[in-house]
Amino acid sequence: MASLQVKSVFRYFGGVAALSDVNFRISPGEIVGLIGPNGAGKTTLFNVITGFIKPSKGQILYEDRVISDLAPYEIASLGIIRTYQKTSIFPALTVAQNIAIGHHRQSRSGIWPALFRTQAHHTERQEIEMRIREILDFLAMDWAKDYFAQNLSYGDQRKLEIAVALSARPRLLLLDEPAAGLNPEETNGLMEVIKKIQKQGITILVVEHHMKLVMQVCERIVVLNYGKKIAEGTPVQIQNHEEVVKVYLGEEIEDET
Amino acid sequence: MKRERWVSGAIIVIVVLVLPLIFESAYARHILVSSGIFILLSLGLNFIMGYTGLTPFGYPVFFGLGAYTTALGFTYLGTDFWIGLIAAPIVAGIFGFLIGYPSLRLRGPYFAIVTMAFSEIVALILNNWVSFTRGSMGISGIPHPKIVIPGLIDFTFNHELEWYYLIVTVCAFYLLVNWRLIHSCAGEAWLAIRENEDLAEAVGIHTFKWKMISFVIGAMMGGMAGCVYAHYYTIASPDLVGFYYLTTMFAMVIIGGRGTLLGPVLGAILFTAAPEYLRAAKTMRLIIFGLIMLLSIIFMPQGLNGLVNDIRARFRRT
Repeated sequence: MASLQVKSVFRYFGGVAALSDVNFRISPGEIVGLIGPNGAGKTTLFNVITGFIKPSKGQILYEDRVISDLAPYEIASLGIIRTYQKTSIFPALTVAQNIAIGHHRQSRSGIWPALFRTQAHHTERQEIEMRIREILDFLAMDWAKDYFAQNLSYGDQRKLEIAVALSARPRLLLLDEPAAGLNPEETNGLMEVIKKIQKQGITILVVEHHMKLVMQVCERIVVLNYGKKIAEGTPVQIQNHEEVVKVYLGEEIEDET
Repeated sequence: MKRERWVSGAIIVIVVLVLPLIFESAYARHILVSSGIFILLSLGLNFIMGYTGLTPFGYPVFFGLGAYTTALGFTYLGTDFWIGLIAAPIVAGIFGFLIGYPSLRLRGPYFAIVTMAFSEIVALILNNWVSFTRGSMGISGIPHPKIVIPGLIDFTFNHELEWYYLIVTVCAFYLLVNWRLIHSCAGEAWLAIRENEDLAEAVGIHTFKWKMISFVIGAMMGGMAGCVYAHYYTIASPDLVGFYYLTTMFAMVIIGGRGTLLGPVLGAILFTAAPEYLRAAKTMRLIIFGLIMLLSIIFMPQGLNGLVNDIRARFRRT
């Protein structure tokens, strides 16, 4: 059984085909990289998978179930959690609150337990408190618990995004350019984090321009160009793939010769 | 820290209970009572605007509906204040759902304008269905609340002092409900929507549902405030749904401080008391009033609540 299956997905914006006939699958526990030049349709594909955009044609399957007609929150509630290319956090709230929000989809208590402060409410608050500590510990961010998200450094905000996503207990985690804007040291830290997340049994699909990260972390890579999949394979296969080299890595090779 | 909190809490309670005894004139007490009614209204608006980040320009409709529910109930069915206090939020909540259902699919200014259109529709009905609502005259003669236990108590809230304690009780109830809802998993969903609606949806929060719940609860709070208003002023008129109340209640919440509990309370008191004291300035009154609003938006973007926090922080540092 595949974790995620993208089945001949098309998406048109007016006359432009942002995605045309994209096919690939991700097995449970894999880390798959999605690369391609700017405008290749990577983020559009993320939006289609997470339900923010409906595919014009084709289907997305998650664990053999069609999800392309579900609302974004329903897709998230299946355990498909995404991050955004542009830093996306809850700025005026504390780090702890940010993570607590990620936990919300697992919440069992609603309005009434909150109003009457039932036992269910109190146990849940304790669970959330524990979860916050666990996640901050995992990302080595314990110090940041009571900081307002907007006051964190850029690098820490990007880490917080991952913390929020993890708090939603993903089974398939979609990372949209997590290394964008990070310095080399932070990028190395991020690669460790991604590997650690995989060890927890979480399947990962990552869009990234940072080639070192993609080549070192991903087990398999899918390449998009002008909305079409032009290649798929292991990092070594992709590095030697003729068409990929031409459209994407071309300049580098030419420089060397 | 905890002890400090208890002490300051006790001081606030004592001040609130003793306050009307210091002001002996009926007029001053009247200002206190009407501040209280506006505290209810701005807490309700703040619930939607401050915590969930929606801008419901049509919010006065719930205030009006609450007032008319109890007024019409009294006129046609002979119901009293206590039934109104339960019926008004229910009716306002139902209208909240009906108005919210189409308009909550929109965001930002579109949502604001659509709710305002619904509010306008209700205003037109209240003004023109004369045989039922008595039109622009409004419904007057709504009785003061009574507590009657046959043979034991027969008490009517006639005087400002009695009203004051009634209002304080209702305000305390509002604050408790607000506080408990905000500090819960539900509250986190609302804050998430206010801060970043797309991300909220991406982590599995059913944003439409939670916006709806917030809108309906806020509507119910507005409805209850309307009921209290109608029984205090003994009148319900279509003005309640009009532009005057819209601007007043938004000013209270924004200048008081959105997304806090103290802010709307301070805003409501300021905006009820200030216009009264500015009466001496006659025609200059509204100009001075507008100037205060303008300056406070420029110099206190966090509202009065932000100012209080700044002062407190400075106090701590020294």
